[in-house]
Amino acid sequence: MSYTTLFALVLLGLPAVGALTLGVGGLSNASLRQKRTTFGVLATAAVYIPFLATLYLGWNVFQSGAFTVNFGTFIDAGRWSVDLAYLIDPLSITMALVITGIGTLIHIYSIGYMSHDQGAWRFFAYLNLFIFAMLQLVMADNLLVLFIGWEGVGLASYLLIGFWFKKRTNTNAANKAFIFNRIGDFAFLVAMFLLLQEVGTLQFSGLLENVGMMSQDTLFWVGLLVLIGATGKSAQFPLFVWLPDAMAGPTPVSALIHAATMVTSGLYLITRLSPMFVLSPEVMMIMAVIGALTAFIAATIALTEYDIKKVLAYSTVSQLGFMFLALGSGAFVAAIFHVVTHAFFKALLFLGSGSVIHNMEHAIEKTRGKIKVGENDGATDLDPQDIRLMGGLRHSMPITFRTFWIGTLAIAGIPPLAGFFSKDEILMHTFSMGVGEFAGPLYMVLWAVGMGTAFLTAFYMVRLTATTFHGESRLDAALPGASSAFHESPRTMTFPLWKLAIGSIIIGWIGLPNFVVESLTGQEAHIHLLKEWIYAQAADLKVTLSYATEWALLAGSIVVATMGVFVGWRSYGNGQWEQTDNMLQARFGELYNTFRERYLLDEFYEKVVGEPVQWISKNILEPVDRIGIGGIVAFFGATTRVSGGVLRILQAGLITNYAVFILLGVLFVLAMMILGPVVGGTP
Amino acid sequence: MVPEFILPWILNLSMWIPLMGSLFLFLCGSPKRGRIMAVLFSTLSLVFTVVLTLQFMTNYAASVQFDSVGSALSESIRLGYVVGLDGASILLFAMTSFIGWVAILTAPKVFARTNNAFYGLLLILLGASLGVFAAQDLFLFYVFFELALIPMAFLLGIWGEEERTSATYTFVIYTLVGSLLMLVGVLTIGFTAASLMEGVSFTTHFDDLMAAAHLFQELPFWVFGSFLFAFAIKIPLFPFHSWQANAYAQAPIPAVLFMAPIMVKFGSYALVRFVIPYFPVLFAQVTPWIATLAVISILYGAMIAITATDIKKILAFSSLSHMGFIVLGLAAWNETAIQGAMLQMVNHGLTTAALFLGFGYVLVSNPSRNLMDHGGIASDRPVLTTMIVIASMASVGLPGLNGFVGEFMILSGAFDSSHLGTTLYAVLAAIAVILAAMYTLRLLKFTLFGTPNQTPSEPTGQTSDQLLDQADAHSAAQQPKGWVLSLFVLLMIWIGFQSPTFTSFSKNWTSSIVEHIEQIGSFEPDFEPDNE
Repeated sequence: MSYTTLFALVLLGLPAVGALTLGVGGLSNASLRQKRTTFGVLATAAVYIPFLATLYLGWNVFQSGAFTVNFGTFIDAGRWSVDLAYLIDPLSITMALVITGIGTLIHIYSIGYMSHDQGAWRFFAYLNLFIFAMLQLVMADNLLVLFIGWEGVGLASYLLIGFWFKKRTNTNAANKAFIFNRIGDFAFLVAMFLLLQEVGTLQFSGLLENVGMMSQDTLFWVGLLVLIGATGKSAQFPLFVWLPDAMAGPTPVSALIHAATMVTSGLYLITRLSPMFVLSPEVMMIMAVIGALTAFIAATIALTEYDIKKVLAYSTVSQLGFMFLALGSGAFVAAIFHVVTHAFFKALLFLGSGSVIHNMEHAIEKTRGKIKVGENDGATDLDPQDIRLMGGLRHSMPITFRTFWIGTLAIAGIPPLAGFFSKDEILMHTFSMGVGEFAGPLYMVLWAVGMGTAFLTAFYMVRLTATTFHGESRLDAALPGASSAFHESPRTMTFPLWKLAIGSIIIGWIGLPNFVVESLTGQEAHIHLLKEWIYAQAADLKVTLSYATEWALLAGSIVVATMGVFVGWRSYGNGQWEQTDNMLQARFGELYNTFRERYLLDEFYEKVVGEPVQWISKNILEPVDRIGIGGIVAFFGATTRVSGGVLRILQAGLITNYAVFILLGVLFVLAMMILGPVVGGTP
Repeated sequence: MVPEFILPWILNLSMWIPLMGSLFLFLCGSPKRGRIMAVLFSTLSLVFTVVLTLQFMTNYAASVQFDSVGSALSESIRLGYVVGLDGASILLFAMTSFIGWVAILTAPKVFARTNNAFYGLLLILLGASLGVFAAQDLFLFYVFFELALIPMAFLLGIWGEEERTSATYTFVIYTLVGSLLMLVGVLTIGFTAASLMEGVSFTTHFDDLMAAAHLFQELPFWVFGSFLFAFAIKIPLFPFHSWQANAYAQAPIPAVLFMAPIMVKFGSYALVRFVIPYFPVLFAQVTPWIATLAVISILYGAMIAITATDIKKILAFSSLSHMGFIVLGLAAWNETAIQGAMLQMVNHGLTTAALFLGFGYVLVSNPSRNLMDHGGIASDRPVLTTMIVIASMASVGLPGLNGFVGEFMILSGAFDSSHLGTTLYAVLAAIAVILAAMYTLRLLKFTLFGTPNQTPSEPTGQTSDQLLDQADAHSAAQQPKGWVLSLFVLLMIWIGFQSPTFTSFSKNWTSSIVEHIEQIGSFEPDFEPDNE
């Protein structure tokens, strides 16, 4: 076994070994479960070592190019067969680095975050299971192995959203996530059937070599079906409703699964198949529209949310929308770029929110412990995630406060922080499509929507940060003396915050826009390192804009982001969220209420899908089935001669005798058959 | 590995040890040792089966292995004891032996009123079920098929829950009506096939029948129909499923472990092993109907399970839905779909057995079958919870576990099937991946998660005596943890990642049978399939 195969095995296998060891260990021995830190450290090692292996493999790819490792056949179906094979190339390495790198930090953070939770052993086993599945997804050499990971992350997500299973709403959220993902998976499955029928392979290289031979119809349908699959997994309109509910899981889960990694799988998949998608402009257009629509809708909802994690959840949906807009604009590198930068600043923001929630919970519980029973009945209703109860946290948690601001500025698109570069690149590509031949005006509208959403992003993020950390503490009003219990989170939690904050500042520099240098020197530049690295996997459409236009767009991005932050700070900077929100509600009226009610999408699904399905099941099929059975039973009951006979035997109680009797009879027949030669001679 | 001449003996022993052992239990087993003897017999049977399976893996032959021929009744009546295993039956045989062993081993943990007669009947069931898959003679198949019905009728009728009597009627009469019709079919093709052979007036050897298959295409349709009807009931296929939910709900768990995972396979095995190979032309004519019924079964079962409240009935309707996939795979009739269906028969067995056993552990602590009376099992019983969750995921077809591989092969085969001629069946059937998630996760939500529900509202379907018995057994057994289910989980993961190890068993057999059918299709120039 060569070193590369060995390292690939470590990368793919160690998280599974971790999940298995922790799971079986915790299950087999109840006292072992109490060693929460040990579980955490082992789980972290099972992600950190693969991170190192990824670095080694990456270096190998850099030096000698992409390669595959094959662990035998996965399914052999006669006409086609699929190998348990993995593709190690720049794109998969990039994703694996994000997964294991940020995964390691989040594991470390979880050691502190889960240190008081009795279920920590389960938590770390699930987390390792997730890393395993996610790596299957991004390293796969074919769609079917990718699908193992695709649904595997769904399982991990289901288990972790419903982690605190005693609360019914958590399980409901977990089920919802799984079922909505399954809607997408249904489309994905049909896409695979279609590909097997038309091309006869699910291997990426085989598929992409044959795209030229696929008919336009096949390209369209496969593209559309894969897109629907990605819409489910990556929480796009209209299937995004599960993601905000998924915040029921522990916060590190929200950071890792529902922000940094799992929800980007759809983008990864489409980028992987980008040479196929670019041949179907209609699908690209639909994708761009879905992306822009999602980005805008989610941003407007985030504007009105008061739950710190829900704001971040809608913000994630919105940023994923940007990434789909990038895909639809043929900017695959930019989409992956935004995946990477977003992974850093969104993980940072979520972990920051976790730190805040941890602090709030602690303060509420500690203060409530002091208060005598009956003195403050309202205390039980305090939601530690409600930003209306926060404010003034900058004093007690300086590290969380500073790193949170870094995350906010990064997502808002303030240069030179990470979000600026990736978002600017996306919008530039969309603008470029806008001046192109196919559906130009439409893309121009999408570009405008994108710019508007960029403004909203900066605005709602400043609203969130200011309301949480600035102004005066409002918890005291609900629970007197609670603010004195505030404290910064432990080192295991602040260490990842700093790492991610540094990442959020500098990671954007791996994708510096080439035109900046090109316009100055007049020669082709190669300062967009990510593009140099993954261009072979991402079939980007060319940008055909003049340097002047590109500079103007760059300036426009900066202005919009700065305006957003400025207006946001003016409206919320002193903790005046109440006045501003009321003012917005008064100004926008019904529109604001639509945002507030989340466009009634949940209600729509409940009324149009959930209830009819249940109604048909309960009021049509169940009675039909029951009456069918009843009728037949009644029919046979009427033929009493038959049933009476059976009844008597059954009630006689001499069952042993009867059984022996019957057995002897059958044995006699069998003996006749076996001993046939004695009677009849050889056949 | 093992000397050739011993192998037929091992095969015979693996079937006859349980069958004869039951006699031992009825006649002279002391009440205390009943369970030990039963476990011993079934363990021996399992060990022999494992030997056979490993031996089979040395060549993965398409033809019958380990066969022993007990000769015929007479030279002119070729009807006799012929047993052996081939690519179609070996895995089902092994699965039966394994699940039967688990059922007998765990019986006292999931059911309080076991006694020698109970174990004896389980042993007959085991032996007869093994016989069904080992028979290489259609009449012998029929004998074992009927033999398995008898102990099940008693297990259901005596040890069942409150509505056991009506459940037993429907179960017995349904199956009996089907199989009696089939008997007429057996006789008809037996005489027809004999016309090819000199000096023979009747034959039911599989080989003889297969050689005469081209003659069967001109028989009246009802001959083929009688087989189809019998096995449509057994599988069951909508609308012949009415016996199923009640029988599963009323039967004691050890009996359900035979009924749901094993006995329904008699039907699907018979379809692929001889019904379709004997009547390929006629089958091709009814393919759209069969596929339609299969898709209806899939969606209908899943839809009812979405709001059903009886735990065992939810599993029953889930089973109805999943068996539909197998029938769809057989109807699609290309190599991919058949291979998928063959694998899915084993998968369905493992998954269904694991779920019924897992929920058997749940029901023994709280006998109400209404899922609203349960909850919070995850708090006290993490091992059981983990196993049930994994088995449920296998049932909803999560890739990496066994169910996905079979379903994917079936559906992609059906999508691409020239027999079905349209992708519609596969696409409609695939909707079940969404529905399955809906009903399965709902079941888990109310049973495993939430907070424990200590006050069962209205114990359904059990007498107070039974409840008392079960409560005693429960305290005595101190809530079995459920580690035995990890055996199923290991197999699920193994099949999930390394399916070729398992599909290899039937691969050669499948290609030879597909070839055989193509031959028959071209063998009969006079026959016009479209001229009904």
